[in-house]
Parts: sequence; structure tokens; C-alpha cells
Amino acid sequence: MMDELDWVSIKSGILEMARKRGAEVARVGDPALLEDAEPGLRPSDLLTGVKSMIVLGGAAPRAAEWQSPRVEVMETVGTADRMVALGSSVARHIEDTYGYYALNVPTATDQDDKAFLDFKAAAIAAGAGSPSLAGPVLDPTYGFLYLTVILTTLPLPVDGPLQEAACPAPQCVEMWDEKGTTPCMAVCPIDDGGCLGGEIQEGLVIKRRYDEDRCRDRVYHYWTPGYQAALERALGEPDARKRKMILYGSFFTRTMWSITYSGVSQGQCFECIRACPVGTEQRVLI
Amino acid sequence: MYSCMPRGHGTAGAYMSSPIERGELNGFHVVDPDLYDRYRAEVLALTNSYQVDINEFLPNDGTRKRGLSDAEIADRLGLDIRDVTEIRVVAEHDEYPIEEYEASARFKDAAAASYLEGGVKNLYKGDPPPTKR
Repeated sequence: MMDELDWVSIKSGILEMARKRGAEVARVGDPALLEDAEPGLRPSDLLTGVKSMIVLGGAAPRAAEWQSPRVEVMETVGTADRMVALGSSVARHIEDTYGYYALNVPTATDQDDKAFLDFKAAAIAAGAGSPSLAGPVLDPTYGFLYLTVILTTLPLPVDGPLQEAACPAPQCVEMWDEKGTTPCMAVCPIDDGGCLGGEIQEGLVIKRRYDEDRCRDRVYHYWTPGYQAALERALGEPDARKRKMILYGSFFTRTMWSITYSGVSQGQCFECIRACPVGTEQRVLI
Repeated sequence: MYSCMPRGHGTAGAYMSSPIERGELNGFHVVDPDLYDRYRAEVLALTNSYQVDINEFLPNDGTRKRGLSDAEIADRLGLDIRDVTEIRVVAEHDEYPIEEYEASARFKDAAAASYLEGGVKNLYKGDPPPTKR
């Protein structure tokens, strides 16, 4: 009976359902394209017999949040949890309706402080965006989006990578030709206390450099890394009164609030994307 | 697979303490600080911590590099995979001191303020003002 299923219609129905529930981007990728990823970060490591990889993007910060003069707003509202909930719903729908396994990949951290899957590679393979100098996958229309990935044994037709990359945008190529930098690299330069480096040659990004450790400290500023750093400082402080000032102080307190608010990915730095021209229309209203 | 590699894999015996000291019997593996100091830089250089041309822009014809898994690093350096994992995780969080977080707050305040004031033509230039927080 399963052989008679119309895979195209099934795929269309699943992706349409995801869009109606909030996904801005819904695509299907071939999990085999991730088999050259680091062992442990491959779809087949998570689900035996995986045939398709559904990638959903959405839940970007709202325009007003981008425009807020208080950076703390963006530090607090940027989270993948809405996409996680949507992914779980789609996975349940697939299992309940079609009887195939469907696993919404956890966005949390695996046992070795690594991701469960290379989400960027999954999104690129499905065409749910293309790689960027700044780091996040960018959709040509929406720019930065939070992602969720559903691995399934359902053999859906794949969409494949985008034919035209969103990065570098024409404005960035122009800026590179004039100034030897791009908006994201200018605001967060790897050789001057930032995270991003690279060059553009004939419209393509080459020699990209990325300081993941510094970027993580900024993105997870008031979160696990910050908590560990402050706790180490507190434990090493021999003066009980000073120790109290650390543990009850503003940095440690906010970090504790932040950690306990959310069990999923939370972004706390957006400055490279704020300057990125891709998806600008979504971030500017009247 | 790599997660099933035998304990004691590797040749860094001079740095190994006993299984009890290392917490193996309690299921809480703590890397020896001397081993950490000895291999920290080498392990980080093989991971995704500081990426140079580890990216999806490059063709998948051997040009594209990727960070190694802990098992691959263990093989290359002759270490126990669990030591590699611990060295990597500790080192990644140990790369920048807590003062980096203060700098980060100032950076974000300054970068956002600059952009909101004048867009791409007024990008933050790397001289952050005292933090507002």
C-alpha cells in the first residue's frame, strides 16, 4: 500500500502544514549529503534508515526587537524554542499519519558539548538558506532564521541546495571592492577583537576565518559559558565578602535567570546580522 | 564506532593518573590538568574552535576542511578519547577570560547603537564606550 503513496503530495502537505504553523522556509534535503560531516554529527548517527531531512526555518526576531535601542531585548527573546515545538509537531504528524519514523533533532547540546547534528549543513543541503560570512545560514528573503530539522524514514523527494547563494549580497561585494571589508566583518573583525574574517573574490567568499570560541561567549553571554566563568572566579575568591558580591552581583544573577528561563538554544548577540543586508526588509517597518 | 573505543587507548601514559584518581569508577571523568596544559593548544587547533577555511563555501573536492572529531584527534595525538573530549570542552570555555564578557556587553551596546543611528554607513569601529549596564 505504501508503494502507492504519492510522495510529492505527501511532501507538499507536510511542508504546507509547517508553513501554516509558522515556518517561513520549509524544504527537504538529502541526508546523504551530510555523510562527509564529522562523525557523530551525521543524520545516520541519529536515525537508522533515515531517508529525508526536513528543514524548517522561522521564528526570527521581530522587526521591533531589531529596532529596540535596548540590546537586552534581543538578548532575551532570541530563541529556537518555537521552531523546536513546530518540528516536534511535524514529526508527530508524520509518525501518526504515515507510520514512518520521524525524529525532531534536539537543538540542545549533546554529551560532549557538541550539537546533535550540523544544522547549518542540513539547511544548506535542503536549500533552506545558504552559508554566510557571518556564520548563520541566510535565506535570500528572510535572512537569519532559527532552524529545526526533522529526520525521517519517509522517502520524500528532495529539494536540494539553493542555486544562488544569499551571501555575499551585492551591497557587500560593492563594499568589499571599495573598502576591503563587508558589513559583518566591519562590525566584528577577527583581527581586532571580533569573530569574522575572509575575502571576496569574483563574488565568492574565500579564506573565511571564524573564532567560534569568542562568538560563543558573545552569543551565550549570559548563559552557560558566562555562568562557568563567573563561578570559577567566585570559587577562586578567598574573601567571603567579595565572593558574595560576585554570586549576588548583576552578571551572575542575570546569567542564572537566563539559564533557567530556557532549555533550548538562545541567541544573545546579533550584531553581524544586524548589519547584514540580506533580509533587511523584514527588519524595517514604519 | 568511536564511542566504543577501549579505555586507555593511546600512548600518553606519562600523563595518565590512575582510574580512581581520574574518576572513571564514578563515571565522572576529569582530565588531568597537566595533560590539559600539554595538549590544549594541539587539540584546539584540530577542532572547529578557530576556523580557517572550514566552511561550506568551498568545493567538496578535498579543498574543504572540517574540524576533527574527538576520536580522530585521539587517534592523531595518541590520547584517550575521553581525555580529548574533556581537553576540548574545557579549552573551548577557557579560551577567553571572564573579562571578555564585559567587553562583549560593551561591544553589543556600541554596535547596536551605531547601527541604529546611521546604518551600514555608521558601523561600530571598535572603540566601545563604557558599558551602559
